[in-house]
Amino acid sequence: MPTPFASTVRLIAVLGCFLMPLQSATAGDFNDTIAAARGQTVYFNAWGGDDKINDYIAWAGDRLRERHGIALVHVKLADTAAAVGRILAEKSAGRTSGGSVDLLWVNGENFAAMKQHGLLQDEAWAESLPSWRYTDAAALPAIRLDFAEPTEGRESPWGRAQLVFAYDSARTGTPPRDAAALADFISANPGRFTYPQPPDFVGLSFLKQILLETATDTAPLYHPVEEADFEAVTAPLWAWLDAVTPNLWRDGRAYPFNYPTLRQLLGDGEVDIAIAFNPSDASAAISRGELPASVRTYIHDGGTLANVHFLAIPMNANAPEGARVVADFMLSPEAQIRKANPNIWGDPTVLAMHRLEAADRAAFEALPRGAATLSEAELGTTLAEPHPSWMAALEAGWRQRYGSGG
Amino acid sequence: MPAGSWQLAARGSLVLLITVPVVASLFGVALPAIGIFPALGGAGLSLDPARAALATPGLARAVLMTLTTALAATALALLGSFAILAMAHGTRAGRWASRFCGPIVAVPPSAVAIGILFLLAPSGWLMRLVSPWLSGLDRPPAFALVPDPHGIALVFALLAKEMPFVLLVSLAALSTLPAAGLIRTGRSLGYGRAASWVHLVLPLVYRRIRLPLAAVMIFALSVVDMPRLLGPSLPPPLAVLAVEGFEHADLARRLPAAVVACLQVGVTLLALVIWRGGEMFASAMLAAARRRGHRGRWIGPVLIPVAWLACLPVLAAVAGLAAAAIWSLAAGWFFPAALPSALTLASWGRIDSLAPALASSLVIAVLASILAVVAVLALIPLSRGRTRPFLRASVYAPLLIPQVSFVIGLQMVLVWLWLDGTWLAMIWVHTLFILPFAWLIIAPAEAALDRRHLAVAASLGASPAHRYLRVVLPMLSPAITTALFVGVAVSASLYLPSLFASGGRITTVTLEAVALASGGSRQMAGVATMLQLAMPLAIFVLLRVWQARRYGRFAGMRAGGLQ
Repeated sequence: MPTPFASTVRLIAVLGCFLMPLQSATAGDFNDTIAAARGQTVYFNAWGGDDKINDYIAWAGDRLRERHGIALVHVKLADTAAAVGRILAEKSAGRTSGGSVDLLWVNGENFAAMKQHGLLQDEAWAESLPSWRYTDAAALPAIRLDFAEPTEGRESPWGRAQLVFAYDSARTGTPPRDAAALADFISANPGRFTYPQPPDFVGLSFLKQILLETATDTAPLYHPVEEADFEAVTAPLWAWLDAVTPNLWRDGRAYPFNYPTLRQLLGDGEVDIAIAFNPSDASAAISRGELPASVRTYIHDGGTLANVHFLAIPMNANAPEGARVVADFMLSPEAQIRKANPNIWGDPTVLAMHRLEAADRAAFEALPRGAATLSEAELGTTLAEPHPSWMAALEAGWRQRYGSGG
Repeated sequence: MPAGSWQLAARGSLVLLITVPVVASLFGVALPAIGIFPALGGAGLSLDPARAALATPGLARAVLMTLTTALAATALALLGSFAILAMAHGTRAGRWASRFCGPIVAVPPSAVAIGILFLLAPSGWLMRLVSPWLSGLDRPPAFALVPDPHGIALVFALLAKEMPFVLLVSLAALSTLPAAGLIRTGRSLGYGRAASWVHLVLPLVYRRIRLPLAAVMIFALSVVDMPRLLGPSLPPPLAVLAVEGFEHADLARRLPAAVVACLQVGVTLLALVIWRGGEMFASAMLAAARRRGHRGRWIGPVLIPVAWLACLPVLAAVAGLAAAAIWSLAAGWFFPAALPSALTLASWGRIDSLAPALASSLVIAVLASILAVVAVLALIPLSRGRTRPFLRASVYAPLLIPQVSFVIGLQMVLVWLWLDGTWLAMIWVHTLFILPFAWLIIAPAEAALDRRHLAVAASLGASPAHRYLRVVLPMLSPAITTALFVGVAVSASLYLPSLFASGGRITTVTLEAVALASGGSRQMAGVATMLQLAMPLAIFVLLRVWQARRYGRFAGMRAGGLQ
């Protein structure tokens, strides 16, 4: 007579029959991948506008060369969409292998575009990477849901981002901590606030932040924009912008190119508030002498946008095995600890602390925090990214209203 | 040179190497504009891209601003350089200015733009120097100074870039004219020195520099890196609008962007027509003044301040580049401090990250310049006698087709050929862009060669090859040197063509500088700007030294005639 214990054992054994070979097959596969990757050159297309990030990628390249014989070449992009466009051009020219991009730093709109146009590897490779076991998709759903777009294992999580605001505490007493207070602040300090010009990523993110704070119902934002009454849902955003735009920097007739330019304006004292998608950006800028030491950061009381950024492999990658080995290394505790160090880069990790070895967990906890960086508890409240289709619609709406400079 | 069949074949393939990309690139940009772009599912003719492009907010203002900034920059560059020429030619100041022009022409446009921005922005060096003791400001003024909504800052920066170029080509044209004799004639008829210049010399100079002037205007119409830093952004000039469309995450935006790139061609033609109208008007005015016998005594007093004002943009650019140099050494530099609180070599310590870019820039610039010069020397005999309008048009194409339109089509061609991102493609594309400059510099010099030298050499028993190597080339050496130098400068300044042809795999100093400038670190942007300056200047000095050593003794033969 089978006892409950025995049946459980049998169940485990049966499951084990399915799971064990599968797991070892996966590990075996990855050893094959590592073997195939040896000697490959991986062209890693990643935004190259930040020296700290560039130095970090160079460090990763050194490790990968030592351990796996992979030559990692950082192709420094001014705009990720340029690389997506190149892959598209290659596809349209019939180049289905031997492409110029092996690995791409991507998320949100660009990922959605790649998925839509069939520019990604077909396989669900990301969740079979050995380092995937250190993540916890239940605790951080955004590693499987890129701006509400399922990743389907076709991009591997790399880091986290959250929208934070920076101000100079020597000049501004109390910064405004929600959309309504920000509107009051702008009318009280004309010419001293702006945001990066859409379609800049941070600029559009700021619009989404205001929309999430002012919308009466945010549920439609998490479904494709085609299913929603765009005008009705976004009306509060446009009303907010209509009210503040005349009092923006340059009367809303010009906008900074991107967030580093905005950060520079804060450093120059031209504006009072800067926006960044990395909580430690301001601390890093202080240490580089680009912002005064009195700069501090804050988030809105209702929380701010947060998302995950990823590494994707194009369908025509020339070194897909090498690209997977690089993605796996980038997700490893070793690489993630270094990346989270604000003196190196300061990009928050996508790993789950409870899945790590004790030593790695301790290393994460021992990381320094810059003077201007908020604690994890202070950052606590986050807002999920709307569906990526809202990006294009918001940008078109913004261009229609403010795109001709008034 | 004797034309063997292998030479014909070589020249034929040379012609193909130049004409094929030009023609193919036109298809590469025109087909997407009418909806044909299979990878995006656009397989049939469609007017949708055109409709989407025409619905761009502020398109009319973008067109108008593109036209006004380019026409203003070209007209003012012409006026300024002619004023300097008429007032200072033959004087010590004039010689100093002409010597100064070469290096200034070599400064890449993006470096000039960065310099002007560092100097004139509300938080720029100028405002820092006068704050707060004079301006009363402890933070930058909130009004739009640079960039401004009308593109004035852009015109100012374009002037800094183009005036020395126009002055340089005018000087080259002047060297083929008996200017002194013409002035003497004018003065003997009772015209002042300035009026003699305006009535007798400058029209002849103008006739010889019309093509470079057209190139200047087309450059101003389609430049991308300068307006990104200094121009209005809502709406931006057409060329920036097209590139933004191509860089947009929404890939479908490429089709309307291709329409904008085609529209850019139309706007360029319109600008040329307007310019032609201005030419006719100016020549009618001059003719009327001559008929009425006005001696134009006011011309001199008017031109003197114009000549001085014309120096302003260049001086501003130089001061701005000095500001960039200071930024490269700044530890922290916050408004309104006139100078950084502390200096550091930390940014220069990271120069090793720019070393690969510097190396590839040098290799590409030098090889492409040499190739372009060799190609021009080979093509000149081919174009002589028979008219080859198509060949000439192809040589000039990279100058006469707006860069955005040409480069976007060219990338399609390179991808089809599996050549994008290769050294071959980079050098080829750079050569294409240097060719017209090399042609403009070498062809007139070759045409003006005093052929009696050849006759003398032949009578001394020199073979054709010997005559070419020992007489023609040395006599062309100033032109060849200039062409090589200009070639390196052109190559160093190419942003958009490098971006598209490199496939991101080969990086250049200019690509790095623009990427860093978009990263917002003024310190590193300062370092990259200094490198941008250093490269063409180093080549300039090397060539001058080499030329003086090697061919200095032929100097007397340049102007024609043994003396």
